[in-house]
Amino acid sequence: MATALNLTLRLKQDAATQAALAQVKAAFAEHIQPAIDAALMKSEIVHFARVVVIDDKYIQVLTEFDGSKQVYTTFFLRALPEVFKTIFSLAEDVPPWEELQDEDKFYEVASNYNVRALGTKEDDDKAGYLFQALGNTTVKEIRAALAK
Amino acid sequence: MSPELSDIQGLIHHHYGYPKLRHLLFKIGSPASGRQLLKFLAPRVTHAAMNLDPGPDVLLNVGITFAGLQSLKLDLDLLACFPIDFKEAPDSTVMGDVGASHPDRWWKGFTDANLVVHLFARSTETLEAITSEVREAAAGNTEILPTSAGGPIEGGMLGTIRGELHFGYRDGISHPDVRWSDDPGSPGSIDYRNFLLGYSTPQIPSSPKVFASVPASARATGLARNGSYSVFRVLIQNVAAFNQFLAAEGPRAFPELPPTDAQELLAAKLMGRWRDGTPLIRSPVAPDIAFANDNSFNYSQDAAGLRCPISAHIRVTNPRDQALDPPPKVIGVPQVIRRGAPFGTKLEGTVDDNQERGLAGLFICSSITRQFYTLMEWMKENSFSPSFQDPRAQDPLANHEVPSASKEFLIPTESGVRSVTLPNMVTTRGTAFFLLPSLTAINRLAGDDRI
Repeated sequence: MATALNLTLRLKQDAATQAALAQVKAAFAEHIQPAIDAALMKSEIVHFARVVVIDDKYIQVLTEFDGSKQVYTTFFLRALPEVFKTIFSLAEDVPPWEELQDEDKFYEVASNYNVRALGTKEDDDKAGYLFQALGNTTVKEIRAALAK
Repeated sequence: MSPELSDIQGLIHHHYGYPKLRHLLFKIGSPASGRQLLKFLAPRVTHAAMNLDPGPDVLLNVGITFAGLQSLKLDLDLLACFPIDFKEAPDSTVMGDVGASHPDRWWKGFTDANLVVHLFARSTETLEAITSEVREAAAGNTEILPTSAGGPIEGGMLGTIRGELHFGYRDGISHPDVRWSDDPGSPGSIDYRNFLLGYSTPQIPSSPKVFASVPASARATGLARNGSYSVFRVLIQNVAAFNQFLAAEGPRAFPELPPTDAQELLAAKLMGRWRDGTPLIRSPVAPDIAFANDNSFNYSQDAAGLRCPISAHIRVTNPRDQALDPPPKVIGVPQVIRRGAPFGTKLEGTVDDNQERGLAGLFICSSITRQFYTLMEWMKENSFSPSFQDPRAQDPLANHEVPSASKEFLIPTESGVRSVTLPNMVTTRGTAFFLLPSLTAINRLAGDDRI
């Protein structure tokens, strides 16, 4: 079955960070979204992805993907470094980017800030409930079926 | 650069081949008692530069878990530098340990162990002698006796054939050709950084590593240098069920063959080698002693799996030149150094005697996630290569209770694809992640100075 990542970071509240956040929001559709689109489409493992800001206090990266959490987290880091550098630069209590560029550290931090959904998941003791209308069908399988 | 072999624990560097094994598990009672035990062990640890031809009667190696390092009251900032996969309990989801293999059903006490002493001996007498010495030195710590019979995990030769395992296969034929220095090495040899800590590069990362912004990272990296992560994993193998499966499904899958030959061919198709070791790629019709130790083959001429099924165990765990899915899904073939031996008495036939038997193995690497966990994912569902007709196929010799994986093992033949339904014949009874520290690190851990 697919895996969900609910990366949730507390945003720094100082004026400079909040101003930077406002710029990110303004630029997202035109400058950030296309890069995410291209990378995720090419990956063939991502079902859904979105970035959410809550009351300028929290930023979330919410995504569902096939396969290994570790593979996906590393993919995020390698395919979209500038996007994540931007997101993490706005967040409290995260290591400096020099450390986060390390795969192991990035995975650890992403894991620590991954909020578990309520409920349980049949095939993963550590994960919360995730409804999937298409069961455990992968992105690759869906695309292959649609292509027929 | 060449790592100093005398600082590396011997079993990382080479296979010992001693006939008697015992793995003593301990829970450290206090920092003082843990250090006392390590002080006893330190001068007795077998290192990679020791001459084993002939070697001493007993060889000894040591592993310690993250909880074990915590029990020694190491500096918290230093401990934080270790990677999350070593710090956390083994991930049962990644390993496919569900149902009868779920950690709730592992051997009692196994997950409490935070220090292991691996003993290798030439005789029962010498094994018992060193065991007594270690147990005496371990006063103040608790020995974990995890087996159902209440004893330690043991191992050794099943019979007279070196490397024979309970399902009748021969182990130890293929091992990574490790390049233990920065000299060019033989074609296809693998950089030691895939197995030794403390030499992280952007191409072969490992943790701990040094960060300028983290003062403790230099000390952590120094402590880990010349060590390795060792996944200690115990599997129960149901030999009677395996033999029943071969007896029933062999003739059904290959009705054109005499029943005994059909069973042997099915056994070979599951593994990718005949039980004497002959690779199916080299000799698809019958074993051939000339090839019994052959490891120099590839799969590019067998894209359809007519000789060696694509989901055969050795093809899944080492696809060699087979096409792989592109990044990000797959980044190279994960390599591990395998050590281990069967435990329990040999059983023949199809009638179970209710005795525990199986395999206690070590999988040695510098990244549990990129190497061991990736292999487990590949075995759980063979979805890492466009060669697989069924991306839900699984390694036929792993445990088979993962809900999303197919229970059908596909055997391509000239007359079409045949299939057998896999029963569950392998059950996990424990997994632990140990650091096999360098000899320098063992001495430092045993010392009284705060690290």
